Amino acid sequence: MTKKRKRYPDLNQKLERPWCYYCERDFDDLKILISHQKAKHFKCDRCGRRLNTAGGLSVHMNQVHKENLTHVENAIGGRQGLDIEIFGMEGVPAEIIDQHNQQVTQKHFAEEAERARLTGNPVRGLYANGQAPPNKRKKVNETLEEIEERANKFRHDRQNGILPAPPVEVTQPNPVSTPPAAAPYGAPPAPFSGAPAYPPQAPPPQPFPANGAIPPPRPGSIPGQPAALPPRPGFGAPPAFAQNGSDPAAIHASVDDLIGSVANEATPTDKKDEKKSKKNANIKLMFFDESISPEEKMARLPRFAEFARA
Amino acid sequence: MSSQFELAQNPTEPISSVTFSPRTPTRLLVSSWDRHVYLYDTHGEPGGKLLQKFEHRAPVLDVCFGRDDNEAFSAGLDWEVRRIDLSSGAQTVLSTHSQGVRNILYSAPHNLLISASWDATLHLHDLSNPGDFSSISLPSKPFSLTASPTKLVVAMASRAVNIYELSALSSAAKQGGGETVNVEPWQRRESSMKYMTRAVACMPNDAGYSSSSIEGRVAVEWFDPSEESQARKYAFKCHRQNVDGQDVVYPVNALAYHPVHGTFATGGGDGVVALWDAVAKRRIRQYQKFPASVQTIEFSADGKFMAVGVSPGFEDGVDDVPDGVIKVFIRELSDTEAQGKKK
Repeated sequence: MTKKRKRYPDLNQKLERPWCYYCERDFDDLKILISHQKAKHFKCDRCGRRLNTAGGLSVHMNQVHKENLTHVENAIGGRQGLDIEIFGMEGVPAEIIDQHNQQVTQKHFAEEAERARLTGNPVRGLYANGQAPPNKRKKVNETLEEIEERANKFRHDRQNGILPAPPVEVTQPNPVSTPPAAAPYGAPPAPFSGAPAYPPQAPPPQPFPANGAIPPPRPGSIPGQPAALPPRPGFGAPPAFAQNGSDPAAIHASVDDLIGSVANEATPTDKKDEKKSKKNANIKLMFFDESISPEEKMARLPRFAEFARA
Repeated sequence: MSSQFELAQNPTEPISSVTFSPRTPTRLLVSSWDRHVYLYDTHGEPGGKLLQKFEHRAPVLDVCFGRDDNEAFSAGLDWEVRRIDLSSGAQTVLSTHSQGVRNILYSAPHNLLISASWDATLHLHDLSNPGDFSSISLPSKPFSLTASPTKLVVAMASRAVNIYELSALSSAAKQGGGETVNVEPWQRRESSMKYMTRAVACMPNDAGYSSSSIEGRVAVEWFDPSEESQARKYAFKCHRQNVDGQDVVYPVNALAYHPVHGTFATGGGDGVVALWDAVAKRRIRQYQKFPASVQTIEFSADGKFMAVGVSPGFEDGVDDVPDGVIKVFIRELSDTEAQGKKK
């Protein structure tokens, strides 16, 4: 079992972490660092063999591929040289270690300060030696006169019916009011369940103009249209709207909108077709005909037709 | 060594067909919309020597060699199938269709000359019985004709493909008298491609054929009707260009199999010629773009040369065939240039 990592390791923990001389990346432990170096810095780009050190890779390149290694792959500027033999943390020059530690320390304190600023919590260890942290709530120092004045103002306001200023509330977006349009695909379109747009005494809207024919059932066989598509009000319907006193045009518009929204819900099924047509739209045929070959078309050109037998 | 050169004297109107003599790999016939058939010795002098040209009454759509180097057959918009004596220049009309004649083909093993016309008929001429022919009607207009040693493949409008046995056609031709005879195709197929078939070419080993469509696609199929063989058929896209995110698709005008290696070449409206290995399903190579649309390709019988007929073709949205280079290119192939993947 590995030790559970602290969310915010302290400076010493950070300084203890092994890191890669070539790319300054740090690792949880030395084994991972070594495998990182083998994979990123000491891997032969000809045959993929992973060597242990830059020197090893150089010898390998020389002997196996007859090539000279000039620099270490993926290394940051100034550290591409082959002169230093690095293996894990071994071989790293002292001044580079110092430089790294300084960087880590700086970064550590910068991070802590930033965290303190964001959370409002005291920086760790700041009040460890008996010193009391400052009170978060601002201390209010009021004299007796000031308190009395405040009390009088409150009484006066209450008599005049003025409510005290409410405490400032953080306004939150209301999560309860979800737009009805967000109904999932496949759910029945709710607005049509009870046909609330029509008054109960009105005749049911005729889906087809009354021309004597029995309206056939709509089995939803029309591709790309949901079976539940509501019937559009025919021309028999307007009196119902008039009784209702509402503007028929407005209702028409709203019904159109609803039909549109239902149709929109159905679009996922059409997506495949749409994609196909899109694909086709992006193709330009240099020649297209169902049954007349280019030669036949050419033969019809006046300059050739002139000589052709008719 | 491989090299490429263009013929010095070229037709003045688009080229409809190029064909090598089956016996002399430098003897080349070219038919053109300028109403002539040209006979070249491709290596007689630098740039090829134009030996002779034969005038016709109407644009010539196809030409082929006959029984020897001095016999050729031509077909064109004069509706006639002609025999040309290449040494004397004498022309004789063998038969007359009722529409332009698009393709003509001579099958040496059966001594049979076959012409295909837009009147939806094939004329079968038994050359051992000169002046006689039989006619068979096709379900649709033929667009391209190809023969293997034993089969004839006719690609037609409505994506129809009929495969005939040449032996059956040969015996039908013997009936003669210009009569319409009924020959049942050995197989009736529907093109595996969605668009109009442009060209067909048989594999030299008699195993199958490939066909191309106007929509930058080539299909490879096998004759063997067994399920395993039919499952092997496939099609692939080619001769396309992506211009600003739009796929510009050119017709694949020309198809030709290499007689030695069994690989095949495609030529497209984009001016590109590519060599393919039908078995390994690989492109072997693609040549540098030609200056105009590639209309026809042919390999010489020994497989050493490839003739490419380049000329602007009919494209949608134009009133006339655009001006452009009209030239025959001869490519000398190195021994391995058209070789497929080694096993």
